[in-house]
Amino acid sequence: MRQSAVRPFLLIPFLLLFSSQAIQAKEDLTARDWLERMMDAVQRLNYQGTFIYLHDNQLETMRIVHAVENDRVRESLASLNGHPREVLRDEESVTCVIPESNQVSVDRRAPSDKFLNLLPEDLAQLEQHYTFHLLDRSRIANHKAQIVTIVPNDRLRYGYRFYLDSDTGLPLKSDLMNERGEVVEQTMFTELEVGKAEISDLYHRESLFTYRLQNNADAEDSLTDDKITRWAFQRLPSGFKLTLKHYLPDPDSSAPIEQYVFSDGLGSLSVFVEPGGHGVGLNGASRLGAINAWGGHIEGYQVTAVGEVPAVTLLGVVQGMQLKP
Amino acid sequence: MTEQEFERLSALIDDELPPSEIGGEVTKLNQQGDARERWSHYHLIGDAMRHEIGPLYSTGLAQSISQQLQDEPVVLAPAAIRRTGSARRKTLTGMAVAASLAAVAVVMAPQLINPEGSEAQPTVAQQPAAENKTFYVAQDGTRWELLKKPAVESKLNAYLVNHQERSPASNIKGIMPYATFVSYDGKKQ
Repeated sequence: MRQSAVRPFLLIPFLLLFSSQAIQAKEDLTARDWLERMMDAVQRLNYQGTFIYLHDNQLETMRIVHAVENDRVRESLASLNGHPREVLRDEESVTCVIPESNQVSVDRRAPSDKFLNLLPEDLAQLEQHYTFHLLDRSRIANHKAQIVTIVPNDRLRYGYRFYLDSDTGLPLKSDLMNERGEVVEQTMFTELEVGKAEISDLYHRESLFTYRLQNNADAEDSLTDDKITRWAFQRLPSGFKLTLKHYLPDPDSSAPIEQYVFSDGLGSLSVFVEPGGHGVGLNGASRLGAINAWGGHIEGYQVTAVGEVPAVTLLGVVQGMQLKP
Repeated sequence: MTEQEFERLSALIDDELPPSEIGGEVTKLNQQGDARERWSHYHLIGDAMRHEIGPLYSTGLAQSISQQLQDEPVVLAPAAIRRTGSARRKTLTGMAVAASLAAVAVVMAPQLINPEGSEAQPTVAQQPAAENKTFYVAQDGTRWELLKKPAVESKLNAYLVNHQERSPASNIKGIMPYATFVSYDGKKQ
């Protein structure tokens, strides 16, 4: 009780100090400071805007709304071209709205999501495999922008180039670069409003389709569970670590699908292992925008790897898979 | 796997090493079981980077291919030559590498180029009209490359959503990774 009464009075001078410092010191910010600002802004601010998305020589327009209310985040991403496709996400669920079925189901999100966020101290760790650079200033969607790059130190991960709003830190333009330094995906706001966020309810309700976010809350993070097969991953691409092991119920089989998530802190991929011999599965390599996928049979299991990493990294992980004796 | 190893092996694969160093690298590879395994590993990776990858077999691949090599050395050279167009302009050193490490040739067999069941890219010579037409078809979204199997695509999409929900650094990218997904057009054929 006493604490809550005192806290607001203590906070005000701190906030004032912080904000005035932030304004004064903007000239001296390092690349890492800018990235911290971006991470904070993307999550904490209310904003909505229209951006263009370019990949594989295709140009699309999308609308993003990010609303924060009482520390709860709701966000929506909708395509403004072609079929009205939309993804809605809040603390509990992800709903993908695709007009090809009359089905809607809202699925629970993994409870471990809180741990997936990159923290400022993690940036130090990222610097083992990436180098941050502060480049020129620019202007995007009539906002002043600072260019910051995250350049991979090798060819096992993708790089990023961000044009950050000088006032808020929000990424006005993002370029994703492949292992050869070629831009493979770009997003750029054409219009952005900060401090405003209006999420309409599902407005294509007559035609909804949801890709189920499969979840089994009890099994989350059960790294030592003996019921599932145990795979060893040897000679992982440098910097990549197993960050999460999880299993998903398979509607077609009694055996669960295992999911292994690997990450270097920024780039990540998942390996899904299902008992072979039934159902359909990817056989070979495929690509969707900057996402690479590979599927095949290993030791009698259907293995599918998916991730926003170079194909070389995906295969490096899969090739080192071994069933523990 | 380090970047340095990667560079060294990929230089050998791409025939970029000076001739004086090739002999040493090949000897090293032949002597070291582990390195030989990696060689086949990196070759697959090289192919994958050129989007030529097909089914990947068991992890004992390098070993079984080695055995095949001893049994039937003759079979392997033609496969090596057929691998890519660029192979044709390779010099004797390139051929020597291919022949001594014929394991590689099997890994790269041309029938593995496309995922099973997907349609091969039509060559201009075979289907010039169809090729031209595809350039002008209205594109209204994305689809998984080289796949024309709705069931497999749907499964990949489900995996993709599951991956994105559990991939770290979600605050640096926010909902943006879903852009790929939102742009996905299931109806396009």
